[in-house]
Amino acid sequence: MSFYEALVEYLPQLLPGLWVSLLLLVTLVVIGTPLAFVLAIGQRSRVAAVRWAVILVVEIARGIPSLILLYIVYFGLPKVGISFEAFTAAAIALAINYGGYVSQSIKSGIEAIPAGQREAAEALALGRWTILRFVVIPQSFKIITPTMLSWIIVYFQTTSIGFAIAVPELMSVAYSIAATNFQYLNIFLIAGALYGLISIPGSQLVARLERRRSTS
Amino acid sequence: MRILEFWPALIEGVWLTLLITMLSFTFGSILAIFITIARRSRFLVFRFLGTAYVEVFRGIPPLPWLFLVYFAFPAVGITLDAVPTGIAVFTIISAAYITEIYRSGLRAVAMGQFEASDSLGLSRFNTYYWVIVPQAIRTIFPMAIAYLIGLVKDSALVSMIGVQDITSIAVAESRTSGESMIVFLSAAALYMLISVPIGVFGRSVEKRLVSRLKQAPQVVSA
Repeated sequence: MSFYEALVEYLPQLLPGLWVSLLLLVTLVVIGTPLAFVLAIGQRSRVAAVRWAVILVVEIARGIPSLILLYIVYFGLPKVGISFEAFTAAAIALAINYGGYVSQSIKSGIEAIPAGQREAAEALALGRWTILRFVVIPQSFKIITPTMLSWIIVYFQTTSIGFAIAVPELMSVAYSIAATNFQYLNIFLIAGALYGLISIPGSQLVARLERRRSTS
Repeated sequence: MRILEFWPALIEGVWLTLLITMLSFTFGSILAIFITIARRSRFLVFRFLGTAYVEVFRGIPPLPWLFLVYFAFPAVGITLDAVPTGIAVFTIISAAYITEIYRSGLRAVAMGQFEASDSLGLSRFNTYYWVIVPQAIRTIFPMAIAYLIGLVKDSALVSMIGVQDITSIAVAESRTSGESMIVFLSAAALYMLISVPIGVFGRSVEKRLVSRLKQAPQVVSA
């Protein structure tokens, strides 16, 4: 079977898998982004205990392989009475992982805002939260956005580990088709190309965004 | 608690995790030198090929590559065992990421350094070898260490093609014992026991590099 024939035959079967991958990505970003903000702000808490607890969480979230985190959520948590179905487990595990990484980008984005901004806001007698919410965070978005988008592209690729717990995403679909007709080469090439077709233009776009930011 | 019960079994997997990570990182760092040379070439073709390499291998996740090499290559006459497959795939992927690290390291060196070397009549090789690279190392090193730690974690994916690394053994142990929570938490702790010392080692070398060059490293986001 030629690559072209395989493309015509299998692409329509792979697309639902790609759709699930994208859905998983959206879900993990929706859960993970607020988590990242909480972890970033928590690391700057005035209470030392909170600060250290949050730093510990971040280090664990970033230090464990996403695959192991996935197994902990999917196979481990039921042992203590918390069960999720595969898709939800994958979204939660990846969100924790993503949240850990993105919190560091947010933290450095917040720290990059000149101290004068804070001092000016304090001089206006704005409260701590008001300063963070209306002065610091809006300005840091310009710095945070490109890094956050890069992480989203990375995690689009990481959704492929959903295969390990049979989330019906692109890799699972590809594998199950290939296992029945042995068209491994063609099918994995098409699946790989689908990942590339989204990630590569995506990262080009982010790079352009970043260049525009650094020149402006 | 039976927290330590699974350690002896899991530790069996450590050396394959380390072997695949360290070899891939070493080969990848070397391969990345050639790709960097291609990307800085005078010839458009080489520059294009170098950039295409980086984009393709960073744009497609490791799992399809692992499956492609392990399941599909035998059909075209290339048969590799699981461990060599893991090393080959992660070498090729890490070369792409490390090329990007080299690039931002080189970009952080001021243009004037190139011009000064030029005016001293240094050859291209001598310019890089004596002037540019020693300065770029300061930015490259911390990023490379961060990447290495990432690679330790990514290497868990080789369990999907049956390499008996930490993750594979953890999956098997959790199946036979039914203690999935304890087993996977132990595996997680083991991964941290590998990556934390790498980080500590990295920071200590970094400090020495900085004090020797009497200049703070510039941080360039990945």
